[in-house]
Amino acid sequence: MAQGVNAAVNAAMVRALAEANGISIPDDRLDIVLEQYRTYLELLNHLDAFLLAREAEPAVKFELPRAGTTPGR
Amino acid sequence: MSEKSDNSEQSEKKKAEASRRLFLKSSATTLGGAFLAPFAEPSARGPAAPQSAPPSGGLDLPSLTLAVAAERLRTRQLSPVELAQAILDRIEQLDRRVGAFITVAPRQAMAAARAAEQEIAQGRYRGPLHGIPFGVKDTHYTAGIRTTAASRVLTNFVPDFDATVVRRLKDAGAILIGKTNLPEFSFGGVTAGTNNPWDLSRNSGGSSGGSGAALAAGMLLAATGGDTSGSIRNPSATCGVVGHKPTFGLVSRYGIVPISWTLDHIGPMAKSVEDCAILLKVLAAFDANDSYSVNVPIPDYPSLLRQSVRGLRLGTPPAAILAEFHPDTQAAFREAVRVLEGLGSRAQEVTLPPSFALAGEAQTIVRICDAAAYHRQYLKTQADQYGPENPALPPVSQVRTTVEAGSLLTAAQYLKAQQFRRVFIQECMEMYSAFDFFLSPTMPAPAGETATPRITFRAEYDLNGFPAISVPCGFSTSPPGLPIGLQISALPFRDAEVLALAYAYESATDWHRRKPVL
Repeated sequence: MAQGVNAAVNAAMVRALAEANGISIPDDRLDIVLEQYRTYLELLNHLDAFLLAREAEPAVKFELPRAGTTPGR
Repeated sequence: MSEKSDNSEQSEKKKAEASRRLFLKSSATTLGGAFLAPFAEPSARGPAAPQSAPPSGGLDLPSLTLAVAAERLRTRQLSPVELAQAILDRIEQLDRRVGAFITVAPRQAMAAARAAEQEIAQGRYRGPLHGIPFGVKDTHYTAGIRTTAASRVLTNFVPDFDATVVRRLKDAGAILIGKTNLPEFSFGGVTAGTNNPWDLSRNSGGSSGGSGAALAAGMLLAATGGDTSGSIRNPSATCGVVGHKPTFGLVSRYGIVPISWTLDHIGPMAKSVEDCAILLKVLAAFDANDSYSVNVPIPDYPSLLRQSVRGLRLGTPPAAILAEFHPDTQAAFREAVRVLEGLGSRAQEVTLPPSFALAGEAQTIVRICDAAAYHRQYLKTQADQYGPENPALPPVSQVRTTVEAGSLLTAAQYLKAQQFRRVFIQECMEMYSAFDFFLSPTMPAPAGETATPRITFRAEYDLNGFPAISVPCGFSTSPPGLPIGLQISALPFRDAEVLALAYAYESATDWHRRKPVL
């Protein structure tokens, strides 16, 4: 298990989260997905340890579509 | 290989030979007559090619650089049909062993080559890409040619339009030869099924591994790749070619199967820095269909290559980080720095800002969340189809596991990583104020060798969007003969300067001229 990741993060939780998100993960894949998910949570723990200024903004921006662009549907 | 083994191959070769003879005859006529006017000094270009002698003069056409081939095409010493046929022959001869291509399109390629030949013969030369054979990573939409991203999920996907970069290359007169191999959906630094031309028992690197291997093996004169975590620079270094990851937003991502909308960079791969500059001049352009495209003036990159490097300030990694790279990589890197110092620049070790140590973590979270959002459409309807498109590979999909797990992360966690990213970029901007360029090894180790430095200087440059090029800087000694790459990076939109320093280094060395024996 990745260090610092809550033990409550288990296969049952992964199944429930996935179903709540509209994705079905077969039982035989739950453990491998769980392991991957814990890895990501561990990375996020590292990021949380890096203190950001309260006013730091994310590097994503909203922009209205430009005329003549393809809508993507 | 959808078109690769079609029955028209012999017929195409006969047409190519007939076309070549006609082209030469036409060239000889025009150089001496009606089309003489555009050429100021025909004698300075040498005599018109005699009809009885092949214009290639015994040249190994597939080994030419783009720039050299372009000059021969422009001066009609070489026919686009002859060149395209030589490349297709080379692919036929070698690709069973290298595995660089998913799809080769000989009929479309030869039709385009004949059209290019006709245009050039009529004096309608479009520029240095006119008649140049190129390949694109099989993530790029190609009208009428399937685009698989090396996944069974997209195995039957045939786009009805070209990606912006494909269209721009075609508009410049380049000849699309085929689609190059990659790991499934570009996930990973190894391209299963593509062998390294320098040692066929080793991998080409990835994810643009097919492009790198095809260039190294002389199966293409130009290619593109995609770089989300280092995927242009990794196979360029590993295969001994040049790959440039442009500043984010400079080259359109529109019409390309993504990993991450905010990390993907599309860029040129070629046999020399000059070739990359020629390609970038065509690839770089504002595209309103790419929501992150930037509208900036595009410099004439090839004409800016020849710059003095005297007095330039070069940053290098902290010794403790560099010590974690493979010994041969360290040695080649140190020697490359000495070469640039010998040209008059000054190198200094740099203290990395605190955020550098966590940039890899933030890049992973951003990449995985973006990928999970894109793959949601397939996870909900085609999850069982994940796996390599190549039936010779094990039907295991790391992609599916990655995006399933990524789907469980929250929007708040994603934005936390993007918040970190902005701070990281700001710290990088401040770091670069102390020097003009930052140098590092492109890869921790040569192909198939292991080294695990804490910081690799690859994914960090997708997170900050700064331009970074990989140029050959040596070969390993243990094991012997594997290429090593030097990465040169700079502040955003200093692509011309990055190319110029790489060109100065390349001009002072001969690593890029060495070819694998196949």
